Amino acid sequence: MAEKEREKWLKMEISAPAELMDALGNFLTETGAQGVFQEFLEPQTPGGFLEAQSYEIIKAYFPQDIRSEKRIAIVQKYLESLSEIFADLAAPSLQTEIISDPDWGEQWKKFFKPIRVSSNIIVKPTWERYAPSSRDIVIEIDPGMAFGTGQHASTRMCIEALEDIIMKDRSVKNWKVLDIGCGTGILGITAAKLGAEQVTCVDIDKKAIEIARENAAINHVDDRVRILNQDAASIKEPRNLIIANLTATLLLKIRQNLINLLLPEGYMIISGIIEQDAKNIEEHFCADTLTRNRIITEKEWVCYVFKKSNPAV
Amino acid sequence: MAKKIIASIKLQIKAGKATPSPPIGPALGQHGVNIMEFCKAYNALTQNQEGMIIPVVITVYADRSFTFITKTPPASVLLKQAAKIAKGASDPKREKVGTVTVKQVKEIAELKFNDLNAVDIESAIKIIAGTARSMGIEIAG
Repeated sequence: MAEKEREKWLKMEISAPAELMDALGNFLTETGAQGVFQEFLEPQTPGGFLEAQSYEIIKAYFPQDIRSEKRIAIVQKYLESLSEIFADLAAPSLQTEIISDPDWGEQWKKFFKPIRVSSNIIVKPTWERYAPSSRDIVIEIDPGMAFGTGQHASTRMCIEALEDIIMKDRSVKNWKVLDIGCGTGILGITAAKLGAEQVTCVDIDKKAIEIARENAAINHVDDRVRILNQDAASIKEPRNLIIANLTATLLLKIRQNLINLLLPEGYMIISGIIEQDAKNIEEHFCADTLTRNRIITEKEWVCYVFKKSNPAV
Repeated sequence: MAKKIIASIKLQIKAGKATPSPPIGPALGQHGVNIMEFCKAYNALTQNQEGMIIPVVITVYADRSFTFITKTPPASVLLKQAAKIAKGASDPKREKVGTVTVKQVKEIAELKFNDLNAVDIESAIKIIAGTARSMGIEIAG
């Protein structure tokens, strides 16, 4: 495994009257933060805010580097300027802290438990124990900071579709699978575990590639699963099963690529689509050679299976 | 019975660009939220507004499941658009970087009304005007 990056962050925390929060968020973002956040513990209404308090706290993170001191000085000066303008309000105050080796990517993992995602498939984090029954196919995942744990509806629906296609369509002897935007590799690995002989996973995120490779090895399918740091456009060889769990915008962008890469009578599973985009997706994909084979929905998420016609028949 | 809520988090991030690095990682990780699941959902919902800052309020339940709702863009962003400026002032007391009209302030107050802690439109206008002053934006008329 590659050496873990040693990240250092400068955390700024400003407490100030609620009415200054919007401008403070803007200033922190303009000073170089990728975003800001506020926390309210145990509020009374879902999604709502607490009653106005005398002050609130806003937090921002900056990469810790040579610009840190200057950033702190700039923010401090801005706060002084604000307290001059709003002399009748409590003066804002700034606290800073250097955060080394943060573990915020780890903390949610204690809530990741084995889950049954379809009749035969169980997804289990590598660090949890699970006693499978004889029919269970267990996929082990260490997600790191990549997407795909089976906890999300869009992933679960892909797994359900995958299982259904590979287990039921016995006319196909040799499944050649392409997983676009593989994240943890969960879908490609599941395909291999269901019996696919040749699986290619691609992702443009280098970190995801490392994680997916480790997961393929953990599941002992690394001989059948190739994991590449590429985008969909760089793949040339056509397949009979393509999976893409992305977003509607991305799916529409690579639609022609996906169709070109699908062999006649092949299946395409697309997911990561929210209800409001479903109609548009269906209109664009249900054209020419593709017909809708199946639609799966869970909460506001939609997953489609399309099948390509065979012009020779 | 309603699920027990343990926290609500207001995040200001760019539409379609959520990643596990700060602020999302530290904001959600400590509450046990599956960060990548949130990023996927947020990006899917906001993909068509890429480039805009779309605030989101995430409600975290005791079992670490979460729901979220997106909000209107921050008043500061709308004010910058109205004044046609890229940045606010770094010393708003002494530096004026742009001007908006009273009408524009009212429009922003109306758009933001549901997200503001305001009893009526007049107090919403006051809040927006205060944000403008905090950014070195003058109100004309």
